[in-house]
Amino acid sequence: MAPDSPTPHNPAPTGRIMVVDDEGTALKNLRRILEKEGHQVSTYSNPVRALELLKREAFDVLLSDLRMPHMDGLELLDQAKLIDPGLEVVIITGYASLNGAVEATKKGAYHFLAKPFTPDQVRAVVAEALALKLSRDQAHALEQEQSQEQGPLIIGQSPQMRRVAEVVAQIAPTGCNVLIMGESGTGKELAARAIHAQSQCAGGPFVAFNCAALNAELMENELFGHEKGAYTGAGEAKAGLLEAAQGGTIFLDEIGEMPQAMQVKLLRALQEREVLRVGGTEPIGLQLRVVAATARDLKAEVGLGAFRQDLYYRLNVVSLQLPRLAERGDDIQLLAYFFLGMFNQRMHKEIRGLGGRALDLLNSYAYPGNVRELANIMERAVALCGQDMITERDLPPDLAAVELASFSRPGGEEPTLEELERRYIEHILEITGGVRTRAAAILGIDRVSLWRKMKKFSLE
Amino acid sequence: MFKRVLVVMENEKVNTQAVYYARELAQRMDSEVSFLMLVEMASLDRTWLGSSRGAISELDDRVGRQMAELSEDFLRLGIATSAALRVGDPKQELFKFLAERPPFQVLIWGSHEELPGGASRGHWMAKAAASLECPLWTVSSRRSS
Repeated sequence: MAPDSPTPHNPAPTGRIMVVDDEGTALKNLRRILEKEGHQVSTYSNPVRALELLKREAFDVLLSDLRMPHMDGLELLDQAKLIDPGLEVVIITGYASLNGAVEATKKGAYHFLAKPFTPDQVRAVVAEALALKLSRDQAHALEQEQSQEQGPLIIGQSPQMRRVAEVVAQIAPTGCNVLIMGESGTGKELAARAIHAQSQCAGGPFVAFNCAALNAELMENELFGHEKGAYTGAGEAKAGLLEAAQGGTIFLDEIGEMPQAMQVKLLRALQEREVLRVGGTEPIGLQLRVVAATARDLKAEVGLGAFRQDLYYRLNVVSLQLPRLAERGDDIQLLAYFFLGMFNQRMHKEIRGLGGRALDLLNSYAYPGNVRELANIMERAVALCGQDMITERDLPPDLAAVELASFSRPGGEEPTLEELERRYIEHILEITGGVRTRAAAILGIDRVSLWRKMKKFSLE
Repeated sequence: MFKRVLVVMENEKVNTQAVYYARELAQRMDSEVSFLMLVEMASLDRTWLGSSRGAISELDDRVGRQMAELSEDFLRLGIATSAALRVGDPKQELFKFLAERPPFQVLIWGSHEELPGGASRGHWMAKAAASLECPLWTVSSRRSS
């Protein structure tokens, strides 16, 4: 059972809590405190009966006294963890003996409540345990989902990332070209792969190419391919990446870095829907989707004359803006646990979670490198961590030492409705081969309206 | 790809905290780091126009030594570095420098904890930030929490 997520009206998560203590008064007190917080509470004075119920029903947190007549808290912890390894355990002890605490830690109990306790202490320790369980459950659910789905998963529960996932789901089946914008490390290639995976050409290839990696000449060879003998050393004919992406998607990363000479050639290939290999004479038809990505403000680059306007409109039929990680609120914790699970598996470790201070540091850091930086931080933390919880010491020291502030350029401007309309009509005309009757039918308008709009947008 | 970090400094002032952060960030992101020292003409000796060769040459030596010292720690950790000095109008020189190179993914202000005068009083870098290819970060010591 997963605890209820916090909401603006209900800031602390609530869940199902089992309390085991041989003292009736303590049980009564704990039930009263926890029920006031909105938790569902079951109390037991007999640990054996508590275990029986645990086999039948799911709980989020078990609060257990350390010393009881029938079975002590550590034994209960052992058996409870066998039944439900995801259960969070809080050990209550009036005997704050070091041995007991060390042993309980080894057995996977992270939370302690020392007697005598105040209601605030009870509320705090249960909230902490529930928050940990919530993060772990969500990260686990994401892992499961990812292993079941064909495509990559866009991880995030923040409103921004939910919106991204919605837009991806909307645009993926349309087959139109997409321009993904976002800073380095925000997951542009992942979004492109998600678009491909959810598209009608998901069975086709996904070919990624970085436009900043090569000069114009090598780029042409790479994208367009060459015929045998096209230049010295071209002993064999070679298909380019555009051809390799036939029937699928080509992902052009860092499109803003593409040299002007190549922009012209790419535009021509996209307009004509055919490619001419270097040294070739026979054009080869192209049937593919282009997803381009940039960290630059491409519209500003168009204004400066550094990027061709016609290519910009050809690529930017629909745009997708990926948010910075620092703007994604609770996603930081969710992603941290996702990466924890991933690196635990990769490094054969069993780290259970992140300590409070470590989480605070992760939540307050600005992440210039976005999700990729968080992944690197978590990889390092999992590698260094010698305990069952990641602590501040396992994180890079600069997270605690410095504070960052950003002076960023204004975010990429959203297209106007008119711009979107123009691009969409252009796209439909393109896929219908300019047949206005078919285009008008797809657009849901009559031919005269289409003609008027084409005239207005100079699309004739 | 996150590969290139640029630390921009002005008039030979270095914020060690920013340099430390650039090193840590580059290490975990496996990036290379470039240092750019921008020196305004006005900050050179008033007579520099008269003896420009000598003044520039002295500046070049001084900044060269400063950059070499900064780079040492980076190189020891296997982080590739490069350094450049530009003299003139700092904003224009920064844009020229950026135009000549592949894009940087992060720009770090390496001279002060905050931009002098703040954005309201209009430090040239705060104005330039609006036209940069990536966000500009300032680095200060964390207040204890």
